[in-house]
Amino acid sequence: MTPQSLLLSAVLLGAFVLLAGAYALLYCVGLLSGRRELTWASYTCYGLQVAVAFAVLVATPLDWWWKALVLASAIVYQRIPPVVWRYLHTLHLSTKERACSRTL
Amino acid sequence: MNRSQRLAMKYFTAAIVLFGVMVVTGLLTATYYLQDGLLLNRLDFSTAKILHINTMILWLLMGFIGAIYWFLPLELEHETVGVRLGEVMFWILCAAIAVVALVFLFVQYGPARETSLWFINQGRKYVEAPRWAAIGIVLVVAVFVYNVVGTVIRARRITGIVAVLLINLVPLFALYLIAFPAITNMAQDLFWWWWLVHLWVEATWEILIGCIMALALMQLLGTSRRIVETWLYIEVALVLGTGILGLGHHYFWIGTPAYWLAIGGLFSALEPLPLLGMVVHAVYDAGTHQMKTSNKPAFYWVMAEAFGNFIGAGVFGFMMTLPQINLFSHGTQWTVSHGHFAFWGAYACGVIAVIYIALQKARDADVLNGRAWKWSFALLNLGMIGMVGGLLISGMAQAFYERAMGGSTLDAFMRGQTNPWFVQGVAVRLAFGLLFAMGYALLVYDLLRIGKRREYPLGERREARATM
Repeated sequence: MTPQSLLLSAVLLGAFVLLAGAYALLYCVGLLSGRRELTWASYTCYGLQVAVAFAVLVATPLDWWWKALVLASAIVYQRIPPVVWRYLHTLHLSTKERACSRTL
Repeated sequence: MNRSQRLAMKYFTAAIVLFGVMVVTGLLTATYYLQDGLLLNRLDFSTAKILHINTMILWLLMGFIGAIYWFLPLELEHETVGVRLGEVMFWILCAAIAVVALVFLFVQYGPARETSLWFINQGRKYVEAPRWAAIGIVLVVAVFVYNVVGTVIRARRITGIVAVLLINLVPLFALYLIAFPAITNMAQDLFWWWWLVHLWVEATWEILIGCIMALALMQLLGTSRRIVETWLYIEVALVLGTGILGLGHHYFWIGTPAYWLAIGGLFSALEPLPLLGMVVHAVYDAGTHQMKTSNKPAFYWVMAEAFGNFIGAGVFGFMMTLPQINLFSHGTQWTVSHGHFAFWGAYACGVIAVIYIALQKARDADVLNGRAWKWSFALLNLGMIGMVGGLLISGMAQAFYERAMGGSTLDAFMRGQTNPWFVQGVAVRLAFGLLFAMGYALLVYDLLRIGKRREYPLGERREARATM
């Protein structure tokens, strides 16, 4: 690990998680506001996140299993916002339905 | 307000006072980096740092205890059992903190004898309090556990949140017992010490703040119990699944077996996953309520908690947690920047949110809003972001020049301290620290006055004026 590759690796790993956060944030705000451009912006963030994962793969001296972990994480991160969103939505809906059926 | 909630208000007051001590000693420690020899042999850096990090632990702990005393009677519809004993312990704790702080300030250290451990300083980071005071903390927590368990038994009622809280009280109490050192082997001592520091912070405290936030969300947004409890169970499973073995990232360079590199790296890398789920949840909640609430300060602080936790613990943590990078970043200002942001996001924002929720009820205010809280919110968060940014630059300079280029020698360390990037980073930290202190002063001002004068929503305000 050279001093330069140390900083590059750290910045790439930070950017990897930051972009995951931006993807989740924009995805949710896009769905809430019904603005498709925000949803597309969220996918762009995810695309950038995958690009960063590939940069980690080719440009850093990390051991191969850490690179594999970052690549696997990139795939898992893609599903987190939609899955959590769908789960929350279903949970809120079923709670509302329960409340309604109780008041009837 | 019932008696338990009055006790909670005392805890909140003490927490905010200690928050202030933490800010002042933090500013002082930041100044040492720019002024060599400041207060040398009168109040050394090490003593100011002890006060800074110990008050940080204490004000958050007092905030948590206060929050439980506040919510418990509401949750179980029963006054807290043994609250009088709780009051006595509160005053004992305050007196003990004052005495320990005076000893740290004026005695500071003693000869290498048992008496120094008992009466001056135990010498272990975060738990420096002398043994008599540590025993006092154990008693306070024991009474707190008795209050919670006794109330559950007397009320003959238990909810999902209280059940999680009860289970969590066991490690919360038991892990603190590691604060009493008996091991002379340094590697072994650090091995167990991390159980106290990490497992408190990244396991029991995470669950405690999860329970508190669940109770707070029900009060603040009227979120249904089913939703908060379901989410709490998921959060507990994910946090414990990644957080407990994430402990391994502290075992990297202290003489533990090499397999901890793999375990610590893997589970630390997984830690951002539940935090990302929290971001989605926060945005969902904010969206479904269209950012409308009768308690805006609490609502914004809850939001700040979700995002601060994600960036501070998730982004800043992942940057430096893999062993090959951690070899260079460990123990530099880089770690300090991660620690500051993670503590702020995960816990401090949550405690401030709960204090605003309690104040709304205590002052019987229909609406809690105004201008001061917005300024304090902006200054505190901007100050924190600036501080961790400055520390990150300093830490990266240390890792780059001192560790990777200089080979971690004493000479490289000394040269690293005078590197322009390092010096500018710590100067930026001090400047933003002053901004943070201004935010703290405004927070105190706001907490003292918010809700005392009746606040009306805009339309109602006009009507109220018209009827005057």
